[in-house]
Amino acid sequence: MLKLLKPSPASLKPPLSADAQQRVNAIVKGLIDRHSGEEIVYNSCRANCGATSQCIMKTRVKNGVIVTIEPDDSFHQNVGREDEVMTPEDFDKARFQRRGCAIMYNWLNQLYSPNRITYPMKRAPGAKRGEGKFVRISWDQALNEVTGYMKQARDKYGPFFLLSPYSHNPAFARFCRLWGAGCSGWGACSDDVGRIMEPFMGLGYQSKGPKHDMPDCLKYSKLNILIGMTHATTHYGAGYSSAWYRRMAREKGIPTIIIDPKYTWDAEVYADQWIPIKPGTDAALLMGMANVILKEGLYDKAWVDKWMVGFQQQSDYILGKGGKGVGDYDPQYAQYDTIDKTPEWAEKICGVPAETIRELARLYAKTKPANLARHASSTRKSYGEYTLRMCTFLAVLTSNAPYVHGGSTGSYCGSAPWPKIMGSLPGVLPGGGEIGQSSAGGLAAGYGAPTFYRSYQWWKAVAYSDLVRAGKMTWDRWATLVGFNAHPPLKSMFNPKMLWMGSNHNHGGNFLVMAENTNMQLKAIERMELIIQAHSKMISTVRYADIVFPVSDWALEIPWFGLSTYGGFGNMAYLSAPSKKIPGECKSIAQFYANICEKVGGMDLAKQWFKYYTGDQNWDQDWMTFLKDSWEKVTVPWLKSKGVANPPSFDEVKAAKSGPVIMYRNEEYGDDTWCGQGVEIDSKSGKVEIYNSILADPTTRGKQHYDHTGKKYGQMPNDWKDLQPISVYHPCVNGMEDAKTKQYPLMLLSPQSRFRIHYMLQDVATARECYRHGVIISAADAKARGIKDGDIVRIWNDQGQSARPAYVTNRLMPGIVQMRTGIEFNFTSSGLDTGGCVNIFTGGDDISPVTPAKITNLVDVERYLPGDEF
Amino acid sequence: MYKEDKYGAVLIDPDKATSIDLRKANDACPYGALVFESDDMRAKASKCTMCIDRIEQGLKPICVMSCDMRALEFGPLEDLLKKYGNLRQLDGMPDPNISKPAAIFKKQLDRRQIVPYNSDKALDLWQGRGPNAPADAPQVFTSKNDVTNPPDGLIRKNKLVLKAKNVEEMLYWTTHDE
Repeated sequence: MLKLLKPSPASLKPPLSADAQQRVNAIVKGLIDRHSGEEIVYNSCRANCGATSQCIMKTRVKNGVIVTIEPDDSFHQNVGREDEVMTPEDFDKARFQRRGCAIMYNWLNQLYSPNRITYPMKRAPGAKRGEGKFVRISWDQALNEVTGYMKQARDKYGPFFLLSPYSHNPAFARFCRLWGAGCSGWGACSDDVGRIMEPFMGLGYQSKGPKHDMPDCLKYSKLNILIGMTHATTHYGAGYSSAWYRRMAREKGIPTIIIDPKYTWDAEVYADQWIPIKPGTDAALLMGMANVILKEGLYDKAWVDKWMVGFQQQSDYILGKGGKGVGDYDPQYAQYDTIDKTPEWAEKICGVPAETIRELARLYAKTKPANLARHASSTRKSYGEYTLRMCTFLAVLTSNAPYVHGGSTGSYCGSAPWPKIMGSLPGVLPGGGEIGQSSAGGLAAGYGAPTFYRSYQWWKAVAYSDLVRAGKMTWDRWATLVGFNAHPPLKSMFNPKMLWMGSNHNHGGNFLVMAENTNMQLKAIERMELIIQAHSKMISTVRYADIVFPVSDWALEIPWFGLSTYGGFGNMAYLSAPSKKIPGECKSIAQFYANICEKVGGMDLAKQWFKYYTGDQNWDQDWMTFLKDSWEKVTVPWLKSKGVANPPSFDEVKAAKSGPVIMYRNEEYGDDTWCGQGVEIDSKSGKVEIYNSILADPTTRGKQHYDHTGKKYGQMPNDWKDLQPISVYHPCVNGMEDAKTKQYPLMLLSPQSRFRIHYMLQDVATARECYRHGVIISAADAKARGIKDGDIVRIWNDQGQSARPAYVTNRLMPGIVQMRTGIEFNFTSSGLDTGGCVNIFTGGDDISPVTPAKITNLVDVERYLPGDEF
Repeated sequence: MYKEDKYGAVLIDPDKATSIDLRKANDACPYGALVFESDDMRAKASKCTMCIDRIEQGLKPICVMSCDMRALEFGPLEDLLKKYGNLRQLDGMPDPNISKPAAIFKKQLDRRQIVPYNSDKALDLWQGRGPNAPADAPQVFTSKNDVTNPPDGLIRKNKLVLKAKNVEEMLYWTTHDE
């Protein structure tokens, strides 16, 4: 028992003595004086926590160095409980402080990490790749060695000796096009399922159609159903504001249901009800719901006729009336099964009782508008395309889409249009994407090097090209396996020798950790003659480079501004006015590219890549000229067109003495006027195509990458395998029903963490002290294996093995384990990873055609008695 | 260490932050308000300053201004009592009648069951692999009781621990994977 001092109520406490008071005054003064000489500079968090979510940093800068990051105060200065002072209109217009999360505040320590790379380096003589032993060299030597090799290699091996791994890198692709050599892959994974399937349904890229932004959930929704959407737990900066809005919705009395295999913080804080579901079975649940709605006639036939193509085909499948499918890959789909997809059918698959499915279906059908929000987590599993399409089917079936604020989509927090303003000056930078950023690549395709593979399949492209050269495989078969059908005459010229890891941030910069199947990627790495990396930190992947270029932190050391939709809350122009002290010999990532261009192709090439370039010594000035032009010629007119009467001047923006410029939601979308305006469905029929003719027609299926307008789908695997024109239920490959469970009985999930984004901040001590990275396992599974919380466990499957502490919980359903993504790997000599890199295990499903790198797989776990490695 | 008169902030004297007396204060504090850099008895101690430097300038503490869920508020205790009631203790906290904390908590919202859910039936369903699994695939778990009543000692992080014996334990109780 704790021994307590005798309490002394404040009112009875004798006042401090004069001496003590003097000392208190000195302590308080000391605390105040710590901040003397600081200036306030506004900045934005650039963590890729959902691609469009930039919270506002109020930084305190002293002598050019950022000393503190504080929360935004653009609205409601000095108000903590903002909800108490906000009007419904404030909520609707998203007039609130863009408060950041733990990631934003920890970003400061990203700059001053002991792992910071501050000068160019070359692998130490005799050192092996991966050992991380380097010697310092000069920028000149580094550039000369790299470009010297590139020039020789292009002559010796042909143009396609040079490639970039996961994920698509527009800055690199642009360089390749200008230089005339190099190739790249398509796709960024995260929500590629949406990016691929939504255009097929006429919803355009990034959910052009049915929208449901966060303020809508509060203002219009009468029911919120969230599938795998956990704003408070994973992967969103703005999402934490989303969690707050969800909480406000619940306080307002809007029923909120979370469907997730884990009882998350979200379930605790803003859900009325949590319904656990077996991972990878969402489509079965949705079909069970659709079955009820169809049988009980809980839909408006006129609405469906007006807005949907394929009602008959999809309904027939769900009601077990069969129908003609596509069976040229898998004959079982030539004719659909005649199983009635009732809630009783679904419950055995998804683990949600039929009675619950039935009532959920009735509630969803009768409540308008209702928001059915699915997160990319539900579609990053095998056959995630059917989950996504079922969500859309249900939303249209129940008249929630396309008009009303009840859309089914929302791959991220919301699905706001994504303004492509920054960097879109012709001939300046890769369109759409930020420089050096791995973006979805849709817009960058026109600028880029030829595409040869799907970016996360880069290692297959490398490994299988050897099989082709050895006569064991054809180039056509190779193209099928690597996820893209490159221009036929080019395929045989693919001759990978140099790997370019030139992306400083997001997921791409640490692809060995962030893309599926780490061990196979490591094998492909060994095939390379030269590997270079431009990065700010010594992370797992950088240890495998031969030459390393030091680059600035893209969030706080590169001047930048841009636009954000803030996770579906509304547009804002955000500012990035960084630290003035750049450590060592770091250069910005764009400067690195310009340097390479100048070395291989002279000033002409460098100027083509970046038209403001006048030489390395003028970089800072050239960059400012570019930013000024960009602001004045592109952004300001755009802001004015959106109703911002007096946008700040460039000098004001540069000084960053105030918060962001906010454009409210009704400037462009999302307000109630939207309902009346209607939505233009971007499909041949002008309707939502639940049944898609391009997918069904053998003359177009898999034979073209074009939509009905002739626009090229840059992002589509060439082999469509058994992808059906409607949604069907296909058991999750390597899921809970897979035969492989006999060997590996646990389904591994790999969610994001609240304390890092992808791998960013994985080495920041202040962030790491907040979590214990390990294997999250249910009490039932732990008991069966003799595991207690904190025990070191070994987790393994046929792709590799790792050892980490177990976190035993009854919040996770049994039969599942979780390891959060984005950390590091450290292999012992026996090949055991002690870092806890989950992508050692993920993947292994090559059958489902659309879903990108899978974030799940089957594994087993056992208690492990550590040796010297711990 | 002083409890100053104006706001009631308890402040460590930075010149005496390694004083052994702070260990005694730590022994007495049931809330674990003091943290030490290491287990060395003369390790530097620190604690929340109530952001007294900000309060002196009319600003609210930074935690209040940072909370994503806008869940924190700061002000004179009597005002907050009027507004939020008198819940002064969470599970695992000391008896507020003795410790008289200057903190008030707001209860979570009451849960509503929106659709019926038979958890016993759900567990039966979860136990089976599913209709598409081979007949000889293992069940998901062997006993429902293992799911609903895990034996003691397996799950250790199941309570609020405000005060740890040492730094290692403090890190254990304050880190998580949720």
